[in-house]
Amino acid sequence: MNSQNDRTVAGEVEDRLKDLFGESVESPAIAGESDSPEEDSPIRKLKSTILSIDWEISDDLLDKLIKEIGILENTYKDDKNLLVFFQLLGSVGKYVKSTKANAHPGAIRLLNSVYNSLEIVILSEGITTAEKRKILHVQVEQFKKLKEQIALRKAEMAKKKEVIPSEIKPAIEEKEEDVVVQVEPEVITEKLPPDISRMTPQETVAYVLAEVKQLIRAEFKALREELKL
Amino acid sequence: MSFINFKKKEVQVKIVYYGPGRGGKTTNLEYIFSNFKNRIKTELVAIKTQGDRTLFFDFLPFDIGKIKGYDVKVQLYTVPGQVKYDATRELVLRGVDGVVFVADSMEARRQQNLQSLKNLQDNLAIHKKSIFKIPLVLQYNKRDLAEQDIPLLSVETLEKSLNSKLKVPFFEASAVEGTNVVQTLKKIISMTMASVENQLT
Repeated sequence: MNSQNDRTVAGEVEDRLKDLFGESVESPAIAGESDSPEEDSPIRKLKSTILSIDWEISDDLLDKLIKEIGILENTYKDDKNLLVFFQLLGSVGKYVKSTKANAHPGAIRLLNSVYNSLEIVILSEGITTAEKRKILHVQVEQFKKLKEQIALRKAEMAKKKEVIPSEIKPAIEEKEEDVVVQVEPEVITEKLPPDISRMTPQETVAYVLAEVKQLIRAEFKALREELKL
Repeated sequence: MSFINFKKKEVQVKIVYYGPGRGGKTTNLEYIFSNFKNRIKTELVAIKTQGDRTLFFDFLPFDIGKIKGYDVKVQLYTVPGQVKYDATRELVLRGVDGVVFVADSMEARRQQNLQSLKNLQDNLAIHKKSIFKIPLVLQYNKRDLAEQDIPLLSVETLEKSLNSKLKVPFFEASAVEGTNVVQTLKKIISMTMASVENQLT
């Protein structure tokens, strides 16, 4: 490392870096990406949005996710398996939107996992309906697992609440927490039956919608009563 | 200060990726590792929290080969971006030779970028280093989000708010897609090696 060889040192550094990070490695990867089937796929925007949510949980991105799911539900309205995928994504998205940074860490992972499976189902040529169902089943199971974890978390939080004397509890915080913690996890999965995977997608959708309505009604009723107190 | 072993003819340089939380520092290292692991032949060490955020730092060491008979080893570090981890950032900056400041191009992150750059200046000062003298490259990350209609700061605005006084090289980048990740790295290594050489003469 002698100063007399300034140019040579800079040149040698350049050569070493060229060897190590030369374009020969990177270019094919970039070319491969641009040629990938999802580039022109209707789910391209969904992928970008989910990747963005992985970086940043914001209302804008989650609204975009829900909007994008709505568009895709319309595009693939005849494919019952895909509709269940979108329903899973929508439910997790709504849960994350309501809880934001307090969302269970598994929710974002599930969002990515459901999307990856959806991508396989949509982009794989020659995939059979049975294979699609198998992939979907795995995601539904993950969804159920997340529901259990959220319920457990909720129970733990409720226990902690009981320990705090009621006179000390700040009323506003309590109400906010109730809305965030109680309503949304329930919306996701609370009462999905263990044999949901055996239902047809239409039955699943109908069942979940009915459950959601019922739960929201119950929660609002409970909130109203609490507010009266 | 870089570590130089004259007996073994070995030089070690430390480069730190700095910037606001969720800006893409770890994604830079992950991209480098995943695309060049066959060549760099080392492992990326990452310590995450439950929510996949960097808790302490990520570490990616690799050799770049011989320069004027010296084996040059580069160590890449990231720091946790969140404000509360300032002590860790200060610690990771100890002995730093070059810095990549990964700015978040999202409009909503303008203030966080400024705070983080100021924090870098303060933490370098603790180690008696000047932000104006240390090899520094700015990376304006997440440019790909423009395609999703997410409001981004223009490069002119980023230049004005972050680089008007520093006047250091900058790259528009997308760490998640790998755009200009390698170019940023090559630039900071070249600048750092030139700086190390100057310090020796």
